[in-house]
Amino acid sequence: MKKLLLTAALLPLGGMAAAQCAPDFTGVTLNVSTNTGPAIASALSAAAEVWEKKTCGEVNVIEFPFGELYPKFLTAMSQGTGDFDVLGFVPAWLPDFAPFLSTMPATLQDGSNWEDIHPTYRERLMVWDGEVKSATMDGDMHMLNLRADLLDNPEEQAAFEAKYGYPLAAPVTWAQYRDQAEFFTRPDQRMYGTAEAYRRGGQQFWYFFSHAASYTNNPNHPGSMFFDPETMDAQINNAGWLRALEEYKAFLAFNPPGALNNGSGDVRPLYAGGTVAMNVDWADSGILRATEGSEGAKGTVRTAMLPGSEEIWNHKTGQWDKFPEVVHSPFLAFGGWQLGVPGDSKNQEAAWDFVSTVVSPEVSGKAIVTANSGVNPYRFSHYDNLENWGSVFTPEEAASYLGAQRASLDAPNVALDLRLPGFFSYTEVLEIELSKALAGEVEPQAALDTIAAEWNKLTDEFGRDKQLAAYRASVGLPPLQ
Amino acid sequence: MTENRSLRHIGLILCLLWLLLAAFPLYWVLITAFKPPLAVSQGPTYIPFVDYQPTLQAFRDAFAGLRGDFTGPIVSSILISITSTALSVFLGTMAAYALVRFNYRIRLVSGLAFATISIGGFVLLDIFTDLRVPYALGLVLVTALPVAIWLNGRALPGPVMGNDDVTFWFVSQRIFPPIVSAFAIYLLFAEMGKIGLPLLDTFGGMVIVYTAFGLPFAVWLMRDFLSTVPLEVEEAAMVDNIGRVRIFLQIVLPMATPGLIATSMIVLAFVWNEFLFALLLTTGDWQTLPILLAGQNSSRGDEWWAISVAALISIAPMVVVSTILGRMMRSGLLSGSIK
Repeated sequence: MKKLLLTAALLPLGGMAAAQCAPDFTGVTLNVSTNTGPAIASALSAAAEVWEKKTCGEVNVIEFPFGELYPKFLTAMSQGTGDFDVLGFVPAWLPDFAPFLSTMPATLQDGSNWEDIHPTYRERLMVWDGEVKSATMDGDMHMLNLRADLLDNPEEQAAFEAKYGYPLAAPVTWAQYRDQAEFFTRPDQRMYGTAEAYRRGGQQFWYFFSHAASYTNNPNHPGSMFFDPETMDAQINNAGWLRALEEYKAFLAFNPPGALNNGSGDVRPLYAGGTVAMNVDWADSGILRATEGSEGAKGTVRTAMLPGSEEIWNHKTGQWDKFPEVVHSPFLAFGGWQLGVPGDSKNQEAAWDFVSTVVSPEVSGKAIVTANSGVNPYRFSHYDNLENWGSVFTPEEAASYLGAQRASLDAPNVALDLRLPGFFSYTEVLEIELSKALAGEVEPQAALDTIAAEWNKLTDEFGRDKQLAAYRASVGLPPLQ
Repeated sequence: MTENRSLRHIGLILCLLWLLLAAFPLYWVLITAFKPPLAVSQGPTYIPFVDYQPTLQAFRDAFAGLRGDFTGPIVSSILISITSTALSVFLGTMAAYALVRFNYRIRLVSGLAFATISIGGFVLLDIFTDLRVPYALGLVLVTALPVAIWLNGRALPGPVMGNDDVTFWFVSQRIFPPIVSAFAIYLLFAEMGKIGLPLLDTFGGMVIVYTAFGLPFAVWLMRDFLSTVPLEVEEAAMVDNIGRVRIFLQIVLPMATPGLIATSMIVLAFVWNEFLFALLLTTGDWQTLPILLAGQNSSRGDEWWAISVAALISIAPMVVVSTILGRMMRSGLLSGSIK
């Protein structure tokens, strides 16, 4: 009788303990891997604390050098070692990883949390071969980072308008970008116009793509930026790409000395410290200037969509298509870190539950305003909640920062990054020739012709039909009949 | 005399120039570890408190785990390096002693037979049977080795390889780049894991690989050291009926201590800095420092301040070990062996 009473008394306590682990993953340890922090890894660690409290499971965040992530993940998944339960990876790798990743459970593809994710990610970046294979945990794009202390300065405004004949404001075209970069290049004052990445291995090709999107992402011919979407012929040596390369190279003159050695990690402190008037970069530059900028940087962060163009190359006609207004083709450089669950993970349910925690509005809403998390907005709720950014930005900065990102995602002609099996092979040859062109060793057209020839060769090696089908899927086109 | 003095002055100047060349990168790493990001990107700065205000932020970030967990890889690196160095030096010294004291005659034909039976046998088993890789490998090796030993005892035609050839064979393991074998070892370990013997991301697996990695150096270096150990001491011991193993352990090893220390330092340096095997064969549990160091060059670009802190943390244990070992070498351990 005593035992019965004791059991009856203890049962509710047991029930309470179990209810605290919901769902109950006691005894489950997830191996979650991504590149060495703090970016992304710290966000995963922070989410892990929330998940562990909620589910009584454990999370082991394993970090690797960025340059080794791709081979590390692919070899582990292809050998079925079961080393990892969740991977934080680059969306450009999804075509190669997709055969080894499990599909997102249908329960996670429903409801307000799902609808809150911007369609560009939800319907395009997270999807491969008609299945949702990953979850966006970060929204990446290139933007123009500007300085209000210069743009709003009456003396600068007057001098600029006097010289160039139009008001000083966020550049709308690359020609205006060039004018502003030239105007603010003042070596005697140790100030330069702009900063972009030019170094091989320093993510230079994404900066080149940002320029090229404006001249090659033709709204009349969707998907024709990198390849002909009907033949898979490389387009990288057409007149649009040539103009982009010539400009990208010419703007070296407005970068600080030694710019050929600058990677993306170098352009941020240059902007944050006030050495340059603006830069092209991901969202990190704005955060860095707002939180760790030089004296006088407080409240001066302004962000704008990448410049566009009134003429875009038409690969079919071999002519420039002219538009009545500037067409912006904001380039979603890098695309934003994705979370995937390998098919050989022995903890599928727990892994997807962890993923849903990381990308939940509550957890992700905190990550986007945490310094060094590396997480940029990708949900509608991220853009709409300006007060959330009070710890980082002034209201004007937040409005500018979020407005530019939202406008980029909503732009009708937004350009997605290249996603193709063998992505690294294509970008490796691109970087080699691009570096030669930037250093003046070869003419830009010759460099682009070499890249195009190598890309076509790679396409044939991988299988032209297969690559064509993958490319059309990646740019949202239906299969060719 | 004047000429000698001039030559000494020139030598001193060259040494000082070399010192500057060698020491400046270390100085740069040291001061960069204390720089804020803006001081790194806004032009070169050389003197703390004069050119820039030093900060401990990069160190705080590192030890707070913001740039990856440092404690785990430090412990992993220390344990794996010391264990595999000790094993490879000990085993390598034994092999070197055998090569110095005994004459080996290995027929090329028996070596070729070993290669043919093991490689050919594995390929055939892989194509025509469902035997898992580790079992197939074990089977062919168990077959090939006795056959090769038996053939070696026969009077077969062809060249006969001696001690120098065996030494060269050891050293040749390090001639080709590690990438050649790294992936094969990864596949083998992955297959071993599937039959219930996990070697990937384990202490044992890493020690096995690094012992094999360090053996060629140990054999090569210790062979030269042991060849200078006087034979008379061992002969005197043999007259007293002392066995080979005792002679090796109690007479030869103590006399070769400076060589052992020097070899250990070299092998330790190679193992401590090894990156490729560590990257392929570890995941979370036994990740070593070189992986963490490489990770500081992240997707956000080169954050030199973080890289410098990681470099300093990686260098420190090796500086301590080489200082201790250097003092041991200079302390005159080789004494009183010959009377």
